[in-house]
Amino acid sequence: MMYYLKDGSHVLISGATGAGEAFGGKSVLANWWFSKSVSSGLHDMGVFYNPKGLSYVRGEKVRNLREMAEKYREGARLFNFYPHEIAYQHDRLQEFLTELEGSKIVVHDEAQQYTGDALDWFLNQGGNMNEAAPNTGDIRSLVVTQRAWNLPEVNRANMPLKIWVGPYGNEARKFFQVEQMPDAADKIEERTGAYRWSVTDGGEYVTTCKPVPETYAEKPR
Amino acid sequence: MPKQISPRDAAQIAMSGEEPPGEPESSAENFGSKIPGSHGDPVTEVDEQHWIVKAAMSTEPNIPLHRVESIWNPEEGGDKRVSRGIQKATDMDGMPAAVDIVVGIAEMYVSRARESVESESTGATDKSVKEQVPQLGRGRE
Repeated sequence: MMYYLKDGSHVLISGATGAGEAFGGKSVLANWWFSKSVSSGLHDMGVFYNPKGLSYVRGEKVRNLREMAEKYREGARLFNFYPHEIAYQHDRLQEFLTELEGSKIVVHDEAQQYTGDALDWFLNQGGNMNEAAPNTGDIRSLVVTQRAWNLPEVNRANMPLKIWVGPYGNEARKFFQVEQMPDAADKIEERTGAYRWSVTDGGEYVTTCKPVPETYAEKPR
Repeated sequence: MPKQISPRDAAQIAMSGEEPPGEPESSAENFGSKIPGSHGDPVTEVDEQHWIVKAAMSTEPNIPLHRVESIWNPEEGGDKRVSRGIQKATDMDGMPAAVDIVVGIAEMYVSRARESVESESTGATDKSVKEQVPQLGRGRE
């Protein structure tokens, strides 16, 4: 039950976009997922790479590696990383995390803005650090993007868990067509709705969940 | 933008501190077993203890008494409050069709029963009036 939350597989989170209230929820889901993963002890550290500077992201807000390092030394383990330079600092984040001990979970929000070597590394090697760097733990990635089909196929192939958030429409049809998941698409069309999230694993439909708590869409007090 | 440091230097700074105190807030089992799907935030045993203390000591929201609405309202409550409670418990905005049908049939039955009682009582009243009116024809004879 809910194995995908504890499973170490990388996750692609995509969903409907629009101006109405029924749309959105991808980043909120990622916010809930990464913060609970750390608070529950599944991972030693969590980083939400936050190019848009979303105010509701949990954790210590930092803007560069120095701030993150200092907060980490003080005991913080959950970080809201709001970068100045999106692609450049994403690369440096990857190098930083490989130097730290323990397992990590990283949210790559708006991933279509910084597809590059670092994201390739996170998805290809980050989940199997025992081979790459024995002194550190695995890094699980949650990749959030509006247009999943714009990510390279090799990256999408490294994310066996794919999640659709929100209503079913033209974007959903294209998403499931690109991912070649017609059966899952039919089931999700029946079950999804505003802020609901549906899980597929290896192309197979798993479940549809109710929205995560609204508190994760609100600025932390 | 502040001066950048290398990722390796940053990692050395990060790991130069002490280990963070305490155990994780909740077990991995709790995170895995209380997922959404369910309403509200999954609550672990530790979270529940903190929640109780926090709830007991909370001073917010600090609303003036004259602005507080009493929950006791027998004039407007009753079946309406019960109905609202059912909707809250089941997370349904409207009344399901099946309930509408059952309740509607019952309402029809009650309504017709009332009409029947009212029509019977109206007839009985007319009769008693007739008995009280003196028979003018007999008096003259």
